[in-house]
Amino acid sequence: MRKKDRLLREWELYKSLRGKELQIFTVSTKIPPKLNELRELCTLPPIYFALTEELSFDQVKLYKALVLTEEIGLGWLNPETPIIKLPRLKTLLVALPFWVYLDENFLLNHTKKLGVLNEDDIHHLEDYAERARIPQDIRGEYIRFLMKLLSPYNTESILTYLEKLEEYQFTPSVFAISDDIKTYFESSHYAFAMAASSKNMHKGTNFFAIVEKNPEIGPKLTLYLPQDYLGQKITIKVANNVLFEGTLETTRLEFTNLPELPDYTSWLEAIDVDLSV
Amino acid sequence: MRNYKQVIEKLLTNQINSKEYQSFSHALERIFKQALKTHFTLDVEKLFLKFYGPDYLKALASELIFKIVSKKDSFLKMPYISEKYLLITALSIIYFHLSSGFKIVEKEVNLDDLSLTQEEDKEQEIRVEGLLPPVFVNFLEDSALSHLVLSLKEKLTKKELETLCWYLDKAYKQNPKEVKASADALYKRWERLKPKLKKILGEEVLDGTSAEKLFYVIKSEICDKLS
Repeated sequence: MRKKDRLLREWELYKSLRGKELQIFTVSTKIPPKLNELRELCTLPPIYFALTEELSFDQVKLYKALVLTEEIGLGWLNPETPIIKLPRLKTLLVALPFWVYLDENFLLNHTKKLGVLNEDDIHHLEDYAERARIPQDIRGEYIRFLMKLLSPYNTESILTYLEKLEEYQFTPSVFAISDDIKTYFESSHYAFAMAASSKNMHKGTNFFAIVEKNPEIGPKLTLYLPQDYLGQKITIKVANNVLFEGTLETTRLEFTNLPELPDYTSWLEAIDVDLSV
Repeated sequence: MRNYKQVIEKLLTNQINSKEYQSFSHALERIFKQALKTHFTLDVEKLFLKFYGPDYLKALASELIFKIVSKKDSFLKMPYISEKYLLITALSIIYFHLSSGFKIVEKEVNLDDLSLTQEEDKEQEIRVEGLLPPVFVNFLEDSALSHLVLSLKEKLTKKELETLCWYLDKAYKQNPKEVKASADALYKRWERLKPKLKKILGEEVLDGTSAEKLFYVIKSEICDKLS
């Protein structure tokens, strides 16, 4: 009999094949990852990544990897969902609305290079991942399930959950930095820092920080903190200027009204997160 | 459930004999038959028959073998290979053809396409597809809508479904079925139903899908069946 709820059937089949943890294998031919590549994770059913950004810190290369899948019915959200066809491999992929950060060794050992995407398509995929909303239906359940499966491989243990998963579970706390602090940094030596890196991210001992330039609200700082800090009193300082002091309610904090600096690397390195005793 | 580990291992290490190959190929044909029947529509099955001819299952089975070879690293390391892995791979191949509008029909697949030297030499450029055939988009849209409507059927009470149908008939100027309630009471019931509907439907589900299409699915799957 043709069951009407095809999505449910696809989801039940997929779930029955996946345990609670991903079983990943090592590839036989290792090809170092490069930006804009499409790669296949060596697991069954496979998962695919488009490498859209390369970030370097602590001598480790980290890639922002948009996730794609062969589970077409579950991954396709609307006619805007990007589709990639690999005729040689008889494979069709749909883009999912989330991404993970993977380090180069993980990609080297466990993923296979399939080809290269052009810049326009990379932007198209990124744009979709940022804009598309995760539905509340069975497709959302599938997407969140995949996010959880991939979360242990998200390089930074500090990022226990992926950005969108957090977004789904908790709204980040947003704070505006006071004008005094903003002005202070704009006239300090930080304002004359050379643009050594345009990536503007930093992994501290107990946090992970990213500055993103948003044309509408100006630069925004996002801090990811460890889950076990939740409910505890913490202090966040930049070169002894207090940005936040209080009980931590979410593991992700956002700060707006940032000082306008040509490069944030050294400013981010001056951040300290302390547990109040 | 049958474990395909041994036969796949033999296939991937060139130790399979022709009898085993034939038997494996027949098993894959059966899996495709099942995949088309349980996960697709009769129309999709007819398209395969039309474009591939009567041997369409055989052609699809050889493509599945090709895919297994292309995922050699994973298949060789899997400790147990249940039929479900082959079924999910078969689904993926069917979707691939549906998305190509059956323009990539090949009777035979060429395993040489997988040779490593080619793979390494060729900086294959991959593109995001622009226009997709309506048969593909419609199929996906219908799957999502059917799921949505079946969830409505499951989550709403009979009275709520009656109210939904009354409202839709009215909005689309159809002849509403007789409902034993005053117009005022029905409006009140509709107002109470709205937040519940919003929660189930979620705005995003309808992105890019015509409201009219949703109306007809609700009408045929729910309203016409209300006794």
